[in-house]
Amino acid sequence: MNKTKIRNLTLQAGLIALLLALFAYFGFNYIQNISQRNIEIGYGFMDDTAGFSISQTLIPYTEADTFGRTFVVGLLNTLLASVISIILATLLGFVVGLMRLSSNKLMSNTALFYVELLRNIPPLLHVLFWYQVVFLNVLPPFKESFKLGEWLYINVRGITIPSFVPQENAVAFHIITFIAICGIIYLGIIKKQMVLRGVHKRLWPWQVLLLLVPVVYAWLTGPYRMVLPQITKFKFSSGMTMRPELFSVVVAMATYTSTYISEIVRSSILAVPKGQLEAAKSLGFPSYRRLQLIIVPQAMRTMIPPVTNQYLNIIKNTSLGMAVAYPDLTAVFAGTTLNQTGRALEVMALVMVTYLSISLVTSLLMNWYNRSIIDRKGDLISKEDIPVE
Amino acid sequence: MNKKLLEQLKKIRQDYFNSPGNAILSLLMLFLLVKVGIWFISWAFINAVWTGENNEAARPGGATWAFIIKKIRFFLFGFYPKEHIWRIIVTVALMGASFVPYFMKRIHHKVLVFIAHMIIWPLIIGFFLAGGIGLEQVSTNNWGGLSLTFILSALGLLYSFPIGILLALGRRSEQPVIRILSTVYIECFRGIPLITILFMSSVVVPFFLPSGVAIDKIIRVVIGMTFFQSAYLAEVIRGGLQAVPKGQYEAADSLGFKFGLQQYLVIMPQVLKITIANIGGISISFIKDTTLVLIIGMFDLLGIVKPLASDSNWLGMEPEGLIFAGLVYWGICFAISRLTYKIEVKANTLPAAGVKA
Repeated sequence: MNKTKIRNLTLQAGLIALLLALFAYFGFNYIQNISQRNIEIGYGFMDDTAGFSISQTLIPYTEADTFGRTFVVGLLNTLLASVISIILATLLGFVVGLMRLSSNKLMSNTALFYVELLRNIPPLLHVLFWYQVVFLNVLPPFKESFKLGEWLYINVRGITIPSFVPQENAVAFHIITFIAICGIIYLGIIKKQMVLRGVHKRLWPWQVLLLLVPVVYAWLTGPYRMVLPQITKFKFSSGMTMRPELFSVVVAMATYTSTYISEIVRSSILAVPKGQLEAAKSLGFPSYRRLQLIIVPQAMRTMIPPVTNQYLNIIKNTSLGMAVAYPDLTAVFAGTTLNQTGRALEVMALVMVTYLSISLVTSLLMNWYNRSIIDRKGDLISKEDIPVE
Repeated sequence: MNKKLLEQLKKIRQDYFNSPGNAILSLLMLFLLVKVGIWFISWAFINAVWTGENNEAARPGGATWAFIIKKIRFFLFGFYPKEHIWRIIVTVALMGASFVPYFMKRIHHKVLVFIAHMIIWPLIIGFFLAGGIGLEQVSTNNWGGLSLTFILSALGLLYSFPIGILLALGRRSEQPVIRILSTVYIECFRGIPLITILFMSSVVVPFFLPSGVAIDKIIRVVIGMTFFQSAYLAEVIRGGLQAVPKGQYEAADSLGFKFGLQQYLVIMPQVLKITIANIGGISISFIKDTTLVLIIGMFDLLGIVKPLASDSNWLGMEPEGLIFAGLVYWGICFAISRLTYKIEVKANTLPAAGVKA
């Protein structure tokens, strides 16, 4: 026994020594290479002027801003593309997954075809396809853009919709909305506790009432002013434009990932014991209520961990937008900023840490959601935990 | 006859029109499918152009497959010199032939064949493709097309297997240093996009090498992809390790097997059998991931579409090129998923561990 212990200890010590030696060797090389090229080590460059422009920015940004700001711009673009893709992929995945389970053979086979066709094609090809084929070859040029009244313009340069300019009372509107949402969530929590105690009382009218408050306020005072897209000679002078790069990334990620999500949805629904469906039928629930009340909540539990993985994949895969010049974190910071500054190690380390943190936060959020729905089902709560009135 | 027809009609009603809602959905879907189908067939076949020397042959509303036919050499072999293409064919043939020993009953330790692959494949690729010794040297910048995709996938998969298995064992190890290091490695590589790793290997790695030493870009990319893929493979293998019953370990212990023999003879064969489906799935994603090399300026099957469509004779041929590349990727991935399924069925009909047939 002692012998193995000594052997294990030497093995581990050896491993650490080997790693340290490797690090030392590479570090030594790095410092030598760096000093040859007269580059300083450290993050001082983040305060220097960037001097390049970025095609899509969520916060004000000019060429005179710093490299630090390019990082924030890139990060926000990554988050924007990820959030839109995640929402779309989830919706699409649910629809296709339910379609595959449809009793209608035409529906289920179409869904099967969709899944088999799209998921065997590399995601990068999806992105390029939407950009180069759909946007550059199918959509009309700027002068002949497809119009829907005054509100929607679609052309090679993107999709333009009216923009909403906040007025003076927008702050008040935001505060009211926030309070209303908090109230709705609070009522939801109370409702959950009431269900656990076996009390049944309608709370949803109050929730609707709360929801109406900001809507009515907006109706009466108009916290935002809608500005229709105006065409000057070569571009829109107003309105919001979704650029083709963002559009391609989002649609590609949504369609590609929806195939995986649909398979997860399908298998989790199939994993719900058949007796549950039969019980719901015998209780006389109509088919959509059966899904909503009995099947989906139970399928949700098996669904969450693999769906979380797909969300993480989307976040990582939005970096593919680089191929169509979508200015996300990888393209802006690990691409342009790295090229301009030459601080390979610092830039890459920051990018990697950022991605790791985003992944970590997403996992935590999904775990939290997972726990909350398992609680709602009452699975983790034993009988004794439920307060008796 | 009439009865048969009636039965079929009944079946159609059962499958497609079993409720008013379904009937409407079916008709709507049918309408959409027919519409898209007709448009696609007329684009891809009826209005398509199969011959021609340049893009003037193109017809509106039709595909110009002539572009693919004229450029097929580049799609397959990239910018590899025409007179040396036989070397690519020999390489691929030799690599294919090296699978024969796996099917030989006389070789009991197939793992030796695998180790042999790890040594022989890079030698074959180095000797025939890169040249330099006996054959004329061809710069790796000229490698491309489907053959580059093949080499990247093959080498990446080959080397990520042993590393993935070691990492999976390391993550379950009882020795804290090994466990923590493996876990950190796996989680770090799984948390970042492959592109950043390819960037690392193309931009950052040269900083870590002593000045004057340069490693070819393709080797750096293969190493980067192997590191990345082995993290994913490790998680698959770990899933399999967790599924092996504890009794198997105890049985191996009671037979006096040490750790190595225990893993080699008892545990790993079962793990590989359990994880066949997942390994197939992950191999498919590896192959799809090789397309990312286009971002760091290599011309694999997907990456070569753009330079080919920039040829002044064939401007604007990206749609055809992309669809052709997509078709090839689809074929490869679909074939692998079928193959995996077949292997899985075959493996499940084999006798369970410990039962002598």
